[in-house]
Amino acid sequence: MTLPTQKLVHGLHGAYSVAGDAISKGGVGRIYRTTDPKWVYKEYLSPDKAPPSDRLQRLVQVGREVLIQQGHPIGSTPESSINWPVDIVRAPDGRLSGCVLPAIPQKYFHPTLGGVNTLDFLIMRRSSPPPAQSRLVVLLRLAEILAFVHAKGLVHGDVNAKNVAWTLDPQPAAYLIDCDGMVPQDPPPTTGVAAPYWTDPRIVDKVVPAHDQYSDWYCLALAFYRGLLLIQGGSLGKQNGSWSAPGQIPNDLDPRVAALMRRGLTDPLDPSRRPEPSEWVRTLIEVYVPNNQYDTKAITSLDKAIAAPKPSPQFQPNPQFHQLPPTITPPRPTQPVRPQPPQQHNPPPQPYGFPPPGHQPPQQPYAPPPQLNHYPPPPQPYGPPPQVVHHPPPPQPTGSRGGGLARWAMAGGSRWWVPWALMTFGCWPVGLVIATLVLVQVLPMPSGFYGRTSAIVSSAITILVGSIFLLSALFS
Amino acid sequence: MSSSELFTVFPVFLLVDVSASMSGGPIEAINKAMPDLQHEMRANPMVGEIARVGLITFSDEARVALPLCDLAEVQLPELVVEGGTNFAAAFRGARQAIEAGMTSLPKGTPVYRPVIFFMSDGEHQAREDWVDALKQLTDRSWKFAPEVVSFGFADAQRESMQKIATRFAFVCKDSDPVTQVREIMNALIGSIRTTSTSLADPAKSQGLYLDTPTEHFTPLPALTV
Repeated sequence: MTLPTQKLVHGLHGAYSVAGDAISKGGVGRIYRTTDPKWVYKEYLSPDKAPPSDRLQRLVQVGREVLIQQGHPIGSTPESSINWPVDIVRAPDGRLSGCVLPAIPQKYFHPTLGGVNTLDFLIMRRSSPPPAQSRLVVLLRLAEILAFVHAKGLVHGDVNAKNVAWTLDPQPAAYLIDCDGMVPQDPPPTTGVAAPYWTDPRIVDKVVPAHDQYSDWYCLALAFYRGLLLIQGGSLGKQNGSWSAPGQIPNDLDPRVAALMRRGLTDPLDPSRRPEPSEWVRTLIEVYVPNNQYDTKAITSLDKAIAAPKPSPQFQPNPQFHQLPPTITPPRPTQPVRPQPPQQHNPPPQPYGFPPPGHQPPQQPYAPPPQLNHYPPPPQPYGPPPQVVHHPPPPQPTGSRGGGLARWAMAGGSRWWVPWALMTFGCWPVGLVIATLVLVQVLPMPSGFYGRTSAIVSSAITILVGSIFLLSALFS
Repeated sequence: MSSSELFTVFPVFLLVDVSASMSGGPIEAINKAMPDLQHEMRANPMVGEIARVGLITFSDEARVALPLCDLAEVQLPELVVEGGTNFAAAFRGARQAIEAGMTSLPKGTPVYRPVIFFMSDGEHQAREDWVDALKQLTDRSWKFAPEVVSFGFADAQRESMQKIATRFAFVCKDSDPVTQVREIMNALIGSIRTTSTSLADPAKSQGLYLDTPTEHFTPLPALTV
């Protein structure tokens, strides 16, 4: 089904003009652009595909606080690196029909292939992934984002390569998408989706009915295993009835990192040993960014599986994420503005109305939101798309606009000056007559017209020169 | 490296009629669609990792235009029309290409049963019978016996398409052959994309995904030869 060319949908917080055909189609819904480039509209294929209304509404509350009340630019902090829904749209019968989401910023799109720059392009050898230092930082950002999600008492439930966008410009960053289906950790989810090659073995073996927070942790471990090491394949399936352990961890990998990978992926039916996201962040910084300096040797060794790609551009650390040095190799100690040493991320805020999660996060409320909602503005009202405005020329004085010869002279340029010079020195009688007519037309015009003075002066010179020629002809 | 961690390869063979009746729009539509298929392999790295594609053309004889390969990395051939239509040659050529392609994969590569997408705009014209060649191609005692999906358009006969298919047979409804070929290629690209990333064996029921727009295609039950 395709929406009409333009359609107005009404959310709880505003109206949105939905334009054009779907830009993305999934198993749950279709995404459409709105005339406001900040937002897109996700229309669920049917009411039963939509998440429960109360859950979506809580996500919208968080999304509006992060993106609108607090005004975090997308990607600047862990919480703003989540594609939160910001509004709910209901059908006339009151059932949920769609939601409004932030449009994925252009920097998260692939520079040449056009689509979203998903994690596939970071973790697969065939996709010319960036060097290990950039991969490390992007994956650390993903871990920080998931740490925030879980601190809110939420489960993403479908962490996979297609649901993580990333960029290196202007700094390595990750962006978690497909977030309108996030559910509370407690009670554990009973329904959900799972992507091929990113499915918790407990789902396959029917230990749990749907992905829970431990499944997110499994997928994060899988992302580190595939993305840091750029292994071949990465399908940890069953062999002779038992689940394969990760078999491509190199012997020279730092034992602390290797231990995290093994804990995350071995014995996958026992989730209790899986490292939580914050443990990944802590350990990887300890191993690869000791004393706020990248351990180039250790990081470069991660690239030995492939020819090391070109270094990524430098980026400036963001104060809301863990402070990391710029991703240039080697780090330059003489850099005038030295990044702050690594520090713990601010304790995550309390869950928004969700039951406390199983893993109790440090709890601290958000700082009071600023009074001025400076970014982005509330989505209501939505005007038409930006128009190119042609500014009118500056106002001209009122009064006589002069004759045609006057306007020709005042316009100046070669169209006036070349004939003027030719007539003055080549055919002075014509020049004398025209200059006199120009002067007669220009003089009555009010001062202030652009070009009037130069027209008067040039006409006067022409008359003077023409008069000299006339007198010399009369007396010769 | 553990071969158990490799993704299971999905081998796809396009068996394309390049008889004289395909000249003009239809063959151009195929030539235009091949870069789209290649783009899919590049823009969706997981599909590119899993799908391996071969291209076989047939008219009086069959030719391997592209052996089974990673389509993202190759230079695409330009198809040109040739002579008559010989299904028997097509099936013989397909069997040889499958045998060669499957045995060329690195040892230990997990692989699904191959799938042939057969496309023709006409009827078999040669004197030899094509049914025996089809039986040899789809003989389940052969370890690489493929699933066959057939698309008939223009003058193709529905009964032939039903016999050729082991899984899905489609004949196009009234519309111009260029549109028909374009729709076939779109369905084919969608099938490769979805089947490659579905974790399901294409040889099993529900394992081979095909989303054919009903406004252009009439699905037919496959017949046993």
